Amino acid sequence: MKTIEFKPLSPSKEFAIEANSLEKVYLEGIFRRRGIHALHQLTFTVPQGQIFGLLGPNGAGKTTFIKVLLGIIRKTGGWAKLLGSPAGSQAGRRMVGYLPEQLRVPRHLTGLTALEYYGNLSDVPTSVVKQRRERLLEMVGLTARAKDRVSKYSKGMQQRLGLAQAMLHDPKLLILDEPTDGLDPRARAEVRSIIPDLRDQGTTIFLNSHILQEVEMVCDHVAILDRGHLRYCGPVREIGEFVSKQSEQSTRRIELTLDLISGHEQLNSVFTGDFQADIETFGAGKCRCRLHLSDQHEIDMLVDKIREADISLVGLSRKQITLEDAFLSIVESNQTN
Amino acid sequence: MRPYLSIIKDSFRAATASRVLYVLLICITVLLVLLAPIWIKEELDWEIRSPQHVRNPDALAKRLAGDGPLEHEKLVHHIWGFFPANLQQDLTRFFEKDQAAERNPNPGQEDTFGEEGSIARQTMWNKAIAQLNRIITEETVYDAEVFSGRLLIAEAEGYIERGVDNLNDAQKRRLNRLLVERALGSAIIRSGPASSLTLSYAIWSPSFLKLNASNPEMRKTIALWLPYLLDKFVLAIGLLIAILITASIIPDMLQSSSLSLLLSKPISRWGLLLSKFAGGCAFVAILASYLFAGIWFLLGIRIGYWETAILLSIPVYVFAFAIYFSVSTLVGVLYRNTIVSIFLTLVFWGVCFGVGTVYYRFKSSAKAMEIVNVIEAKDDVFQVDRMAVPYRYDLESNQWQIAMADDATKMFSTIMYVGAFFQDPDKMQDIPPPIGPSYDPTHDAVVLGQFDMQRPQTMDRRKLTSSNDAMGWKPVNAGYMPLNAIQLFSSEKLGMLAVTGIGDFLQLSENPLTAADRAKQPAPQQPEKPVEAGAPSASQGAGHSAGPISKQQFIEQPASVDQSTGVPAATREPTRLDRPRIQSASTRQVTVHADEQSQEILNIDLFKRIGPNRRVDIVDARYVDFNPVNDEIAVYRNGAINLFEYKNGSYEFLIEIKPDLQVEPSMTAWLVYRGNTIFIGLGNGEIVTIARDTFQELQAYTPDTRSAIRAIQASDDGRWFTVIFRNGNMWLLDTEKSEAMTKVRVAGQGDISGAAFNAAGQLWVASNIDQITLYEPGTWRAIRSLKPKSSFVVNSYRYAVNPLYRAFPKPGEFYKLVSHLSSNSGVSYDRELDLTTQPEAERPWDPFRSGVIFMTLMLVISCFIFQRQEY
Repeated sequence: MKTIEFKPLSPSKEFAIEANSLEKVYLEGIFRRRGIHALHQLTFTVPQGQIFGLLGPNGAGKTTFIKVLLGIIRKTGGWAKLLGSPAGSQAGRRMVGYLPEQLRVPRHLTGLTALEYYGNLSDVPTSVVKQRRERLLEMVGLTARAKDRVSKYSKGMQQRLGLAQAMLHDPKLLILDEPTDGLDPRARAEVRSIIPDLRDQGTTIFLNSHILQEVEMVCDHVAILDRGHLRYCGPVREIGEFVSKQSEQSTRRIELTLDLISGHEQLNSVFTGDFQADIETFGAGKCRCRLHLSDQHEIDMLVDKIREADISLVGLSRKQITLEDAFLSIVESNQTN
Repeated sequence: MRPYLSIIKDSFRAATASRVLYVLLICITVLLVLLAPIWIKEELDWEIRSPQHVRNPDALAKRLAGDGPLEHEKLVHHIWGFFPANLQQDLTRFFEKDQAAERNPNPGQEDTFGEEGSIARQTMWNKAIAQLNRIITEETVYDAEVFSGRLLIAEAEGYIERGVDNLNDAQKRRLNRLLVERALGSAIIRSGPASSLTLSYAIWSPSFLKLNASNPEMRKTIALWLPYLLDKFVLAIGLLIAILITASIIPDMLQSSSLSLLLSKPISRWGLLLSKFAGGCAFVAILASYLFAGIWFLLGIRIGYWETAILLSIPVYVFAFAIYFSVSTLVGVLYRNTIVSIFLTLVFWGVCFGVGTVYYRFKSSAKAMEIVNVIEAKDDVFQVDRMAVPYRYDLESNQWQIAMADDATKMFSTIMYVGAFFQDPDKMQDIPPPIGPSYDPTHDAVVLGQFDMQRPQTMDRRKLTSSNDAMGWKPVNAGYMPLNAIQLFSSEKLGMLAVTGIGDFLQLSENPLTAADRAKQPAPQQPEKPVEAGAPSASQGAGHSAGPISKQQFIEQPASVDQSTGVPAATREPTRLDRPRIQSASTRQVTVHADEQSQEILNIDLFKRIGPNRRVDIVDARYVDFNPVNDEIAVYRNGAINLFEYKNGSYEFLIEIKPDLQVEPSMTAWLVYRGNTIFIGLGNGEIVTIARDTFQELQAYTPDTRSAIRAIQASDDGRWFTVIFRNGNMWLLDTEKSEAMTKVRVAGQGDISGAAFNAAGQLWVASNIDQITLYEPGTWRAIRSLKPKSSFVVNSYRYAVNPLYRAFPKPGEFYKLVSHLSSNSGVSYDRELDLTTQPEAERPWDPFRSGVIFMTLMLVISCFIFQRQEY
């Protein structure tokens, strides 16, 4: 099993989140002797002003990590900081807006009183809450239902209300745990559109989601957790390279599919050496070839070579590794290991 | 602070959003509407009621039948004239039979009227009282000729001045009542408040809701009972509902879907939990406020009783709820389950109830054995407990042993102890103690006047038992004490002196130890002649150090005395009621077997009357005292002190002192007269001292406000006076300093049940149920301590039940605190109020103290667990 080693960090206010050798072991059993390692020596940082996605399969330790950050559970070892304050401290929590997974707002509250309640809990005066809540409710699309009891809200509406309360006190860091869970496609799109705006206003967003496409769409940086281990931490756009580096086809991250009309000998003359390919023939000279190449230059060279061999190029498609591919690749490769 | 206030505010929101709140508010509204038509109707009181006014119906019957036929007893004769002939005959027959039986007692016969005597006797009493009430309602008692020259109280004089014909029915009845009371005497019929109140509902004023109380008494009664009734009937249900409703608050908060968000907020966990706790209490506070404010408003508007203590009930009962809720909170934090919270909170409720019940039963039993008086007789120490059972300390076995009691008395005492088990210890009343025991140094005997359990009809006459060390403390029944004897004093000069309720002073003229033997011999015939008032007595050998003279408190009904001063009692002729006492010297007929347990009673007269020349009614033993320094006797009656001096072989009236006590003359009082100080303790807890030489008031003290006096003791030389209050505190006055009364520096303050000075001026202090310690006054050094082996019940109470109970929360007893606050509030406090008639909660702040400790403990544990718990 491979573990990425990061250098120990020194606390800095430049980071929204810092984790250094963070450990969490859940003790179970009657005598609490059985330990379940939820976080292993977790070390990474989340720079301020970014949209950061935390990915991982179920049980990877994503929610545990958030709970440790917010002091909902205690760490077993290492340290973590929120905007320079120790994780779990009131000072740290004061600057954080949090939308938990599957939020249930007390049923006796209305949209308006819920925002007042949670705003006050974040030490925001009621008068300020009243000023801000109209804009927030409009942002999450709940203006029309603001005076209704929460008990009459759908799951998605509660989630949107949760998002509004998380933003109510203008937090520097927004921790969103599955923010689009339960939302319809339109609402998801709306939420997705809000997040970059917030980032642009200077808020750091820490997104915990299992909808990888969403993360890929909105996040600048991602971290991948697997069974408590950090498998990847870096820019989304570099994850493919990372996966490629991790895999055997270390430099060939572009998958190319070619539909050709050619004779057998001609094919053999082209797809040799660096251009080894899987060839599938269909009769009447038609065939489909799949191969991996490193970059555009190699693609150009291959096309030139095909043309020189007088082979008809019927179709060409190229495919780069997606976040999902990378995620699955990372997780599966570690499971195999 | 804002986040925590918002949690509390949210609880209000939750409460107002809850339908349960509205249902409960509607229920309270219905209750208040139902209570709204209640009002109090005040009317002049005329009825003679037993036992409030007729404490001794036997004496009433004897007074009527004995003096009624005598023409020179003008007043009684006048009342007797209103009795129908058949009832007169019945009463006379009853009286004569009784007189005969007393002279010739038949040990085999339980009552003068045979086996069903007690029923016949009761019927006779009831008929007599009913007839008196009929006279009051139907007749015109006032007769100018009969009552002319008789001093009547101002109220009666006022009615007479207006003219009997001009009075309305109620005033006529009231006047009749006052005249009947005047005619028969205050010792027979006690006066009550001028008006009585009837609880009415709208236009309905049923007689069974007659409160028989004056306005201040009613206020006091409301102050005492309202919290109890609310606690037991309304709040018990209210608290149950509150527990059911609020049990879900903590488990709901701990649901992971909402808890994570709460915990992510910049608030501390303990603050979050405590705010939720406060929020739950706020819910109950809404209901309690509405209920109590409503009751307060109703009482104020309907009967003018604006008692702020009712409003104080709001925080008190919210606190009572908070104790239960703290348990619910802990269970909620541990199990996060509403059902488990409710179940375990109710279990806690049950445990509290169980601990309280066990405690009260043990306390009743233990309290019955509390020492209330100590008597030193040479080398022996005696005590009398709350059940009026005398004990002697047995050095060998290190135990208190029942002293000088026959089988019947022992059996009766056992019944008393069993009965005490079922009593409410806070309302347990002292049984009138035996007269004595008192040490007679002249005859080296301890003498004791006890009720004759074998002859209940002699309830106004006690048998005289005596014994000494040489006789192995076997009881010797010497005969009867004088009729209506209430106190026995020991004097160096005069030996044993008995005082009777009608104001006679009598001297023990025989050796009680040998009287039984003398009775076996044929008695010399003596002419039957009434002894003149003030006749000289037979001289007695000078005794030595007199035993301590005890003055026990009778915590009974208000000892309201006749307010009419009337014609001095001394001017009246000897009545037939007096005659048996005076003439019975010739009736020595019964043989005594001193060595047998069941002895027959001698009917010889052991006592000789030695005055006084002017009688003053004495309500009970508290109102009279003998000063061993100058042999004077002081009697307190109707706010005045009557002094009698011993002169030429008999007692003579000396002076009547009327100190300005500024209370109703009928208020209960204690009189202790030693040295140059007359020490008056009043029913309202105030103390007044008067100098004998100047007859001037020296000082007034209120040492322990709001607690009734239990007993007053004084050293023979008159230097030290101690007052024991019902709350177990003992205060001391050193007459040589007399700046202020001080709380004595002795062990057991707060738990002192009795005390007595011995002949050497040292003070025995009884505390911790059955233990006594002898102190040197001044230094307050303990000289001797008697800690006898206690019974299983006492030991269990002392070492297990009491400590457990004291430590355990008592949420069901907060009505005591409310009663206490209520009784002490400005509205209900009244100098005129006789505290002896009022129940007094023991340690009213105890439920609060133990509640605070318990609740704090529960919340600290809850916070600790919540802080450590991972969600």
